[in-house]
Amino acid sequence: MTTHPAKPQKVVFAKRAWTVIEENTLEAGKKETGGILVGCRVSLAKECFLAVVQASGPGRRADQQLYTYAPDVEALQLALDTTYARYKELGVSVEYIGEWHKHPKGMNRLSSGDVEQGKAILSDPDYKLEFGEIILPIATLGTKKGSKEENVELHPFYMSRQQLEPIALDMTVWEDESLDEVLIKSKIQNLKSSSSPE
Amino acid sequence: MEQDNIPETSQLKPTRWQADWHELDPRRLVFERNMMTEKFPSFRMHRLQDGRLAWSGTLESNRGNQYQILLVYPEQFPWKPPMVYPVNPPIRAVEQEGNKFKHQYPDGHLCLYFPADRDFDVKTSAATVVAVTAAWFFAYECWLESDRKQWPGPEIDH
Repeated sequence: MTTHPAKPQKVVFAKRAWTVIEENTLEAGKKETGGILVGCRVSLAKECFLAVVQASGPGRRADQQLYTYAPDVEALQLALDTTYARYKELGVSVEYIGEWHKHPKGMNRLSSGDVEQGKAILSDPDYKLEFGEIILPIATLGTKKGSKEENVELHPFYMSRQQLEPIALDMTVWEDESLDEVLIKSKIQNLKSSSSPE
Repeated sequence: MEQDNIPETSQLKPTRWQADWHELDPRRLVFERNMMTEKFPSFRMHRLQDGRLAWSGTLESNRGNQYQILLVYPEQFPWKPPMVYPVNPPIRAVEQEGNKFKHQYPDGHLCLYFPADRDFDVKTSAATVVAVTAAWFFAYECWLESDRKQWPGPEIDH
């Protein structure tokens, strides 16, 4: 019988993934944009989190409007397959783990249409969601106090087959190497625990 | 071997992420409701199957004819104006000669504005659009009476 894992405590973005989200959000101006997130669930002795090792942009053929956005699915598939192959060489299994997109200023939550789209992904067997969960972060533009320069804010939401109503998750950004090291260590740890006698 | 055909990664599907105007700006929705309730209390709000919000109701012309209409908010509201469809009677304002529509789009919604005139802006509510629709029906009846020859008021060819 499959046991359902507990909700992760947070999302950890590799710096490179965060940079892709940040750059694409700033470039999009008033239009919507987004992309996929590639990563995995990391379970350590004391904590469990979702690691995002790479993010994609919308792809060249994406349809980007003021309040709606449809990504270029071929470009996203290529981004997923490339990242998957690169991490496979490191012995780490990463997969599609969700999708980010931009909202206009002030709308830092999922819309009802976004939630329906999330549910459709969770119920689609073509998505290899090992733990039946996804994260759907919303990127918005804001300005820091005392500064006129725009900055990107990210608001991650968690959905799973058991938790169809989105829940806000904390997030943090790690250096690429630090996150990769943790993923490799966690992989070794899992291998040891699965091979140890019961 | 058959196993070779099994993809290693998820096979992504086309997705669309969208936010409705009334979720982005709930205060505007309250304003729209208040204006319609005040000016056209018999109209009712609906959510169409595709998720768009709409008002339906009936207008009566000076000549006593009744027109049931459906006003649909576009996804890009208020940047784009609502569209008004005559429901009952169904109206196809086709000119006497040829198949050209008279101030009506091929999908049936009425041509209420000439965009360059900037009659509609982001502050224009559905209540104003319904009032403009009533004027459209007045012009439509005059046009019918002229044997589909003369549309009262200014117009552009389209």
